[in-house]
Formats: sequence, C-alpha cells, structure tokens
Amino acid sequence: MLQKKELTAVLINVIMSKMVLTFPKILIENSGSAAWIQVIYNTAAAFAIYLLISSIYKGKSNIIELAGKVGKKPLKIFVGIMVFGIFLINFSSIIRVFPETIKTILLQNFDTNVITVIFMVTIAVGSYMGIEAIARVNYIFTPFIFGILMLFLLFLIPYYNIYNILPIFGNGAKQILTGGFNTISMYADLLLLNILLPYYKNEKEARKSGRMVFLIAGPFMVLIIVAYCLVYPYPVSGEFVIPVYQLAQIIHLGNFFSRFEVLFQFAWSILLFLYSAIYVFALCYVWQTTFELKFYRPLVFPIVILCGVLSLLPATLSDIINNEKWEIIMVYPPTILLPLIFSFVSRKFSKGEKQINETC
Amino acid sequence: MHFRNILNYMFFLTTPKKNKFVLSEAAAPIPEKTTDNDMVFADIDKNLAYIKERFKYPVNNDIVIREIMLKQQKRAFIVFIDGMVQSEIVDEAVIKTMQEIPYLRLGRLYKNDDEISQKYISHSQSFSVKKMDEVMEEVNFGCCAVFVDGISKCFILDVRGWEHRSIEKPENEKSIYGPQEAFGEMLRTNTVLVRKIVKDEKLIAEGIKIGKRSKTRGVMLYISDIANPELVNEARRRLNGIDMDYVISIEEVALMIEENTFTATTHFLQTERPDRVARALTQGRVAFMLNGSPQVLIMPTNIFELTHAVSDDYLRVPYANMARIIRGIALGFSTLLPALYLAVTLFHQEIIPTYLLYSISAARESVPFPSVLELLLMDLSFEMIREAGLRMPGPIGSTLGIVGGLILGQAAVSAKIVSPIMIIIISITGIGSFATSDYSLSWSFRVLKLIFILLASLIGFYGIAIGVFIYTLSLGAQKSFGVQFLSPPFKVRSKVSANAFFVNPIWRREKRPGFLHPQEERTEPEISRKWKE
Repeated sequence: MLQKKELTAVLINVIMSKMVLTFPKILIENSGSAAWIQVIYNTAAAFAIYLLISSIYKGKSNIIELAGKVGKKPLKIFVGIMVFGIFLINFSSIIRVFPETIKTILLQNFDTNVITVIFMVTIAVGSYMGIEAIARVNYIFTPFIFGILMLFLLFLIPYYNIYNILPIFGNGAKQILTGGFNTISMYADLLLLNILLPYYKNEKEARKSGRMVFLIAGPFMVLIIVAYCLVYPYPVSGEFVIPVYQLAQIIHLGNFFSRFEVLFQFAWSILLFLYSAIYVFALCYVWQTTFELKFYRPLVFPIVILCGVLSLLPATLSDIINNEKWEIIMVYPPTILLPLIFSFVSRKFSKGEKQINETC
Repeated sequence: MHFRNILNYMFFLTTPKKNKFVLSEAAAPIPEKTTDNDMVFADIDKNLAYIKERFKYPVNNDIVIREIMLKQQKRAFIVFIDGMVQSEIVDEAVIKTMQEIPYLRLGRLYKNDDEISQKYISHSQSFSVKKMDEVMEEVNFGCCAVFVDGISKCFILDVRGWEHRSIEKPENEKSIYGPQEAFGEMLRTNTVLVRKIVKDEKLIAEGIKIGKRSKTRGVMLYISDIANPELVNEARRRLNGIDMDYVISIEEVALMIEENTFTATTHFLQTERPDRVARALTQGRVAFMLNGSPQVLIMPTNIFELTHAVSDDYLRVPYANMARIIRGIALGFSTLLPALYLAVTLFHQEIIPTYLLYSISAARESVPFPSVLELLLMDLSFEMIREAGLRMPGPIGSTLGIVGGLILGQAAVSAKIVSPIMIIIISITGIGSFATSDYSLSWSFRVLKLIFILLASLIGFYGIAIGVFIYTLSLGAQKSFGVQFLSPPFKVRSKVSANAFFVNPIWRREKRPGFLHPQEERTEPEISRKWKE
C-alpha cells in the first residue's frame, strides 16, 4: 500500500514529463500562439471526463481485474493486452527521443545506441526496485523539479514579449476546439491511476489523487506553454524539437550563471528516468495482472528490450515526432472509453463486495 | 663438503631444524558431554572437584577458589575471578559474614537454606542457582559463587568491580551545548546514564544475552507505552536470533541484525551520547546497548536522521538550520564535487565561464596525466593520509595530516604532477566528508564518490544523473526495521519532532514521528507555551 501523496506525485510526473519533451511542438503546430489556450481547453475537457468517470467508478479493482470478473480470462487478456499496447505506444517513443536529445545536448561525441542502451539499463534497474521505491523517490524529487521549473520560468521574465502571444486565438478558435481535442491525450497517462488502483488505500483517496493531478499539473503545463509562446513568436516557436530546453538555453544571468540549462538538464534527466521507470513497472504490472503471474521482476528486462526495439522502428527523430501526432490520436479514445465502460461494471461488483463485507 | 652443504641449504635440501614448529591440523575435538543438566551437588568435595575441572584450575591462574571453614566445622568455598570482583567486599561481606553466620549451629539450615541470603548475607544482590552452567556464567561475569557443604544450591553474590573508564566527554559527537557525558564500557553505568535523563518507570531495560559461549550481556531499552510493540518484538526477535559463539562488540551485533549487508548505508543510528538515546526513546524508538561497548544502537532510523548532528537539538532554531544547510552542502560536495569537476572538464567545458575555463586550462597545461588519473591519485593520497592519521597516536596523527596535506600537496603542484585546482577539489571533498555527522554515513559517501567519479568519467552529467537516480531509488527500496529508509519526506512547517531537513522550534514539535507509529502520538499540546495565551 502506498501513500496518496506518493501516487499523486507519480501521476503528476508522468503527465508533466511530456511537456518537457516534444509535446509543446505538437500543440504549437496546431494552435500557433494560442497553444496555451489549447492546454487550458484540454485540461478542462479531461477534468470533466475524469469527474464523470470517477463519479461512476466504484471500488478498488482496476479495469483489468474487472474485465476478469465480467468476461473471465478471455476478456481479461483482451483488455490487459489493450492497456499494455496503449502504454507501449505511449512510452516507447521516449526511449528514442530522450537518448537522441541527450546526444544533441550533452554527449555529442557518443553514439546514440550507446546512450540508448545505458538508458534502457538504467530504467530497467529503476523499475526493478519496485513501485514503492519509485513512488517515494518521485515524491521527494517532484518538489525540487517543480522548484527548478519555477526558477526557470522566473528567469525567463526578461525575455517575455507580450506581442508574441497575439493573436490571442492563434490559428483560430475552431482549430483549437476541433483539431486541439486530440491533444487531450496529454492526460492519457491518467489511465495509470486506474491501473494502480489496488495500491491505493481506498477509492476516495484515488479520486482525490486524480483531482490533485489536474490542480497541480494543469496550471504548470499552462505556465510552461505561456512562457514558451511569450518568448518565441509563431511560427519560429514551431521549429524547435524540444521547446523547453530551448527556453533554458537562452537564460543568461551574468558571467557565472550563463548556463542555466545545466541545472535544468539534471532535473530533466531525473524526471525522465522516473517517468520511464514508472512506465516499465506499469507495463510489467499490467502483464503480471493479466496473466496472473506471481512475480513481475523477470518481465523487466524483456519489456525494456521490447520498448527499445519498438522505439528503433522510425528512421529519424523527425519521423518519431511525426508519428507522435498519430500516436496521440490512437491513444486517447481507449484511455477514455475503457475506464468509462468499466466504471458501470465496477458499480455492480462493488455492490457485491459490500454485501460480502456486511455478511462477514 | 661445506660448499655442498651451503649449496644444499641455499637451493636444494633445506636442512630441517630440530625444533622448527609447523602448525599441524588440529585433531578433531573430542565431543564434550553436555553440561546443560549438571546440577550443584550437596557434597562439597564433589562441587569442588567439578568447579576445578570446569575452570581448569590451577592452569587458569586468575581463578580464585578459597576454602572456608565455617562454625561447627562446616566446610564451604567461594569461587571468583581475580580482578573482576571488589576484593574488599569479598573479604568483608562474604568471607567474614560466612565465618560469623550464627545459625549454622541451629540445624535449621538444611531445611530452609534460602534464609542465608535473605537474613545473613550483607550484600545487595544475591540469589541462588541450582545449575552448574548458571554458576559458570555468573562467575565469568564477575560474580562470586558460594558453595556450602550439604546445600545443593550455590549462592551467587554480585560483587562485580573491574577497572573501567570513568564517564568521559563524547569524542565523536561533540556539542558546545547540551550534556557532556558519553557512554563507557560498563553496561550498568550506561543504563544509568539513560535512566537519569528519562526518569520514567515505563522505561524498560530488557536484558538479552548474545553469544553461545560468551553470553555477552546486553540491554534493549524502550518506553513501554510509547514504542510500537511490533517494533519492540521485531528488535527482540532479531537480537535473540543471533547464533554465534562470541560477541565482542555492538558493531558485530549491528552487522548481524541489519537487513541488507551490502547496501552502502547503515540502517542504525549509532551514538555514544546518552542524551541522544534518551531523545530517541522518547520518540518511540528502541535502543540496544552491549556490555563492553561504548556505543549504542538506535533503531529504526532513516537517511535524513543520519545527516543530523546532536548539536542541532541544542542550538537556537536559526543557527541549527544554518548548520544543517552547511552540512547538507558539505555532504553534497563530499560525494559529487570530484565527479562534477570531471564531467565539466571532460565533457561539458561549455558550461564553465570563459575566464574560469582559461585559468583551469592554464593550471592543467603542464600536468602529464589525464584528469581522471590525476583525481584518483590525489584522492588515493588523501585517503591514505586519513587512514594513517587514524592509526597514529594523537600528536603524530595531526603532524602527519599537516605533512601529508600541506607539504605533499604543495610538492605535487610544484612538481607539476597535479594541478592546483585538483588540490582544491580534493580538499573541499575531504573537508565535506569530515563535516558529515555520522561516521558510517561518511564512509558510505566515500564509496559513492568513487562510483560517481567512474560514471562521470565515462558519460559526464548523464552518468551523474544516472547515479543519483539509482542511488536514491535504492535508498527508497531499503527499510530499517520495517520503516522506509527515505521517510519521513519533508515538510517545512512540520509538527513532527523529527523533521527531515530543517529544525523546528521546540514548541512546534507536537507529534512523534509518524513513521514510527508510536502508541502515543502527541508529545505536547497545541499550545505548549501557556504563557503566550
């Protein structure tokens, strides 16, 4: 059993991590200077969906367990593999993007494969330590990472130019409302909340945890995008692969603190290591629950290798970014639909559970 | 002929010396018959023979067996180990009393033998035992055993009194303020040092014997209505679960009861200060002390508490917090500074401001070694000086430090073997490691420093980030007596008496640490300064 605050930190981390990689580029490409409005819109929409699902969902069983109760093994395996696939798609690009970025930023003379292998070993070791350790470390690091991000936003103030976010609606309100709905997938990782439900003390805590995620991660993501839009005018802002790093690079605080990105890189690396360790653990956990395995640890290395192989399929980094646009469209419908469908099922089973408890 | 002898001696046939000793394999020990069921005899001659045999008397020449003739020609003898008893008490309270016992003439003695100790033995602690093994154990621990003819019991008198250190000032946990007493080697003196601070009848000093042969006495301390019973039971279970012949020191006990031997960090708070033990007990922890060890183990603990110094509790809040911040920085330097230097100079030169880069390059210009080798050379020298300094007697140790540190460093720079900046890096790292409050933790950071150096020299900052990530995760996965080693996560305005990072004002420490799950959570009311109301 984990503490609510630790699991909340895990969820905030997985959602925020996208914002420090390529996701802002996708937002900018859709809405131009109004990318920040798109984040607000996505957050509001995701929050509404979350409230709807969480008001219906009852009990502490996740969707895979519920599938097992409703449709026995076949449905359990079907849902389990579906969730596994969603996580795999969501995560495997990170294994490629992160080492590529490390190569560009830190280790120009290194081969990407070497960096990738080191990264894979690191996250495998990380997830091997278990969710308890990952969640606790997340909880300890998250405030520091947020502190560094806040500092970063403050140091950017001299570079803000209010005219850069004009026109307010960027590529148009319609574009934000229709084309921008797909980026609701920035909250697709909330599916983890459902999968990790058995680790919560009770459903009330899980609900609270979800709400906290929106309240903390949402404003931070808006702030990051606002800062980016304020510093770089559209369409220049759409050119950078990793916008947040680009912002860190321009910070100059006199002779001695001219390279803020060093501090940023450190926080950024830790954030992504944690993100990846959580995902590898989640993948193992989904597989373990689906096939009712006793241990998850033997799965760690095969799953990391599977993710690594998948990440190598696109030829270049730009292919990955292009694929990512399709990935987000593929990922978010099932992450909404699966919990929604099973929330009705959960009501039936939670009644059964209550009755059993009462008779006991 | 002589030449051949010399030749043979030198190269071929070494002439065997007559008395040359070669240690042969020990013969298999003759299985001794068990002594578990050996009882004290009523016949004094049998008892005497038995005791002589068990103690290998008179080969064992510090064993004293003194035969006494009581009134009405009754025979008795006493056994004790010379040097472990107080001779005056043996003379006055044992021998003299026995020679004067009046009622031996009355014939009642054989029916009601306990009356001897109840009525006539003028000594505070006495009891009788029937088993010979118990007699041996008590005599080995400094008691005097009395055998009287016709009585199938042995009277044990606690006349312990051996030479020991007096109560001295703490050597390793110094503090300007607060009590200035440290534990010694005497178990009872140590328990008294704690008891006189805690002054609570609920403070339990539970006796535990460790070591099949040594039967070394230890005491597990806890406050019965504060400490979590599960924690107490677990500590007891582990301590009783030690199965070894001899236990020499408490550090061995720590090694035997820790969960994971190969982690870099210890899972106990080891202290020589009674006030620290008392504070830990009032928070709901368990302490263990062992006879002959001037250190006490406190369990459970966590990584944050290991970085706290005892002086933090006695300083005013702003000063204590400043000390903690400085210690935190020192700790960071002691682990990461050499690795950061390597990462910057080998991989990320662009982050150094230009002028600093010039001066570093100029300083390194004539050094023939790569930075890693230069760093490892200097670090190895520093570690050697530190080790040598520890083994040297006091004044020589400090001289060695000066000679090693200053002169060797200066000479190395002049000879252009290392750059001046490397001397600075190694010095700051060393000072940082000395500023770490817990000796064991400083060791663990010394080991980690080498791992970080390796990672930084291979892949720069990326390696350091990997190291930090894996190290913190490994800490997160560890437990100290069922308590997360990374607990409690911090809270700046915490109301808990043990804050992870910062010292709270004493009036805000309203609760005991939640991670200990104590029986009583609150230590003081919401408003503990009534005069403020």
